[in-house]
Amino acid sequence: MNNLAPLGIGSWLFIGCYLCSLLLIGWLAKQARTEDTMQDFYLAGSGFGPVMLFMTLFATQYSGNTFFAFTGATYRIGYSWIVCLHFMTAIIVVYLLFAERLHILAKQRNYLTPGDFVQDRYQNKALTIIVAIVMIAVLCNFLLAQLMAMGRAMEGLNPNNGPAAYNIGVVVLALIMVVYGTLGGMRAVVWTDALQGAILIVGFALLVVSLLDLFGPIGKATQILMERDKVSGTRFASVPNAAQCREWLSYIIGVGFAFAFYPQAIQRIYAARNTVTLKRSLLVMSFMPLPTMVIVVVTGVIALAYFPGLEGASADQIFGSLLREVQMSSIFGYGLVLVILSAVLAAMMSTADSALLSLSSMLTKDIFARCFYTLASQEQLTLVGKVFSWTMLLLLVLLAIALREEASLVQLLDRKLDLLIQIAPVFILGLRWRSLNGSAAAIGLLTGISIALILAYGDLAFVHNGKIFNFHPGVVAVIPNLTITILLSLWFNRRLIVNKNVQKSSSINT
Amino acid sequence: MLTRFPTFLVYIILLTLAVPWYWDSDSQLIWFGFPAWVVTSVLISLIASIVTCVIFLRSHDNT
Repeated sequence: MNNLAPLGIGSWLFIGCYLCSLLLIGWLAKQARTEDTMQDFYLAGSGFGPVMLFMTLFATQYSGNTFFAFTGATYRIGYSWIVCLHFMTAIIVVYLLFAERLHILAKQRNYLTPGDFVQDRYQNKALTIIVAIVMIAVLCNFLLAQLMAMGRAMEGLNPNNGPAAYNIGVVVLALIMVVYGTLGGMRAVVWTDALQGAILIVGFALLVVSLLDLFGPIGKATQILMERDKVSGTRFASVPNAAQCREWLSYIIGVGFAFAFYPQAIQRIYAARNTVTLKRSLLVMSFMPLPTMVIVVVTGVIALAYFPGLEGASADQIFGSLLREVQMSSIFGYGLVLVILSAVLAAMMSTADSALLSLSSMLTKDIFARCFYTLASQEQLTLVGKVFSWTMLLLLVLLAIALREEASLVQLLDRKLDLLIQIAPVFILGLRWRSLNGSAAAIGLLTGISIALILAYGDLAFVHNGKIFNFHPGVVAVIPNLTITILLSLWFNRRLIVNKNVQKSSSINT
Repeated sequence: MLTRFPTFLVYIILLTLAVPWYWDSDSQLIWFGFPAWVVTSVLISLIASIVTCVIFLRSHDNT
């Protein structure tokens, strides 16, 4: 958000009060705790009603990426990024395949982490640990992207002290987040999500109204882009070509099947009070991509039409250039930018705190308790979880500072997709096909991950811009993953039946 | 739910229509201030949301 005019003391007080209110919510959530168990800390006891669940799902799914990366992506490729509308909808469609069944099982068997389902369903420790490691890696990537987005936001607020503001922003915001998360656990995270979700919706709706007021109707921006396409051969407003259409298909399938399996989203499925609550929240969520993504694309298109020229990671900061225009336009604009800045900080923090909570629960339950200390009490595990939260956050803060200018936010998003989509067969097939074998799923998963990583980082001749024929490596790799999982399951089951028949016939003979 | 064939087919059709492969690449049509292909894509997404909402309302999934 570089180029913003410096904020006055009043503005900083407003942002400071907002951040302090999060700490207060954390403290209130701590008071509301009924018992010192992992279930209460990580899933808030008996669960959430439809409104709270919807708000937390919304605030978790629409994050710093929504504002920075998606506006930046529209700025880079133009209207073609409207694909984000479809892939955000695809996530909810994929929930149709498994969310209800998973929720029913979670309530019956007290699941806490995604690994609990995997262990319960397959009774295969290796598979559980592989799934946990993949999810932890994805969460670290996810959290890193949010921390970097926080740093860039603070950098924009202090344009004169770029790098220092970025570093201070990352450290201070991460500190506030971990404090209220440690105090109140899932309850604090969801309560702050509700507050932040509300600010987010209001802030962005007002932003679009101001942008259209400042720059004129969207048709004008579309005309500018169409003229630019004619003159310079770009495709900002043109119909996507064949390569872009294949990329659309890859994004819709890939993001749909990958991001439905974010551990924090799965834990919210667990945390729904009952099935009706879950379905009500998800049906409202199915309409949220439309207003949110159209607003993001309109913002990016206006930026592209009126502020061309930024490239690479700096394109993620285009959002700030637009805010500056609104900020300088009037006193109302100045106040509006302040609310929007709070909304943006809110979006990043609410997404990051959910990821941090999931990360700590998986490290504690799926790795520490399952592999190293099986006899730990609930109080000990809750304490260990808090220690993991602080340690992981410290490491990721240092990494975010080190990578300040290195990666664009969409590059980080693509790598998450490649890994997370490999887990989809373990959950979807596991819930629907009784014969699916744990060892087969583990071999399929490892194959999928290996192929995805080789394709993504192998520097292969047929891989262009990290994609194969415009498909993400993860989407390509899930095909062998699925094939191996199914074929090996059939083979293992056949061997099992043959062995049983042999045992039966030998017992008859004897 | 999604595993029932008619539902699955509806989503496949929506996915096919969501990707704007069937538009003329030189199209300069503008509807409501947006390129026309963007408007159709947004409408398909709206239909997908409505279908999803109806399925959630009518589903009774038992494990």
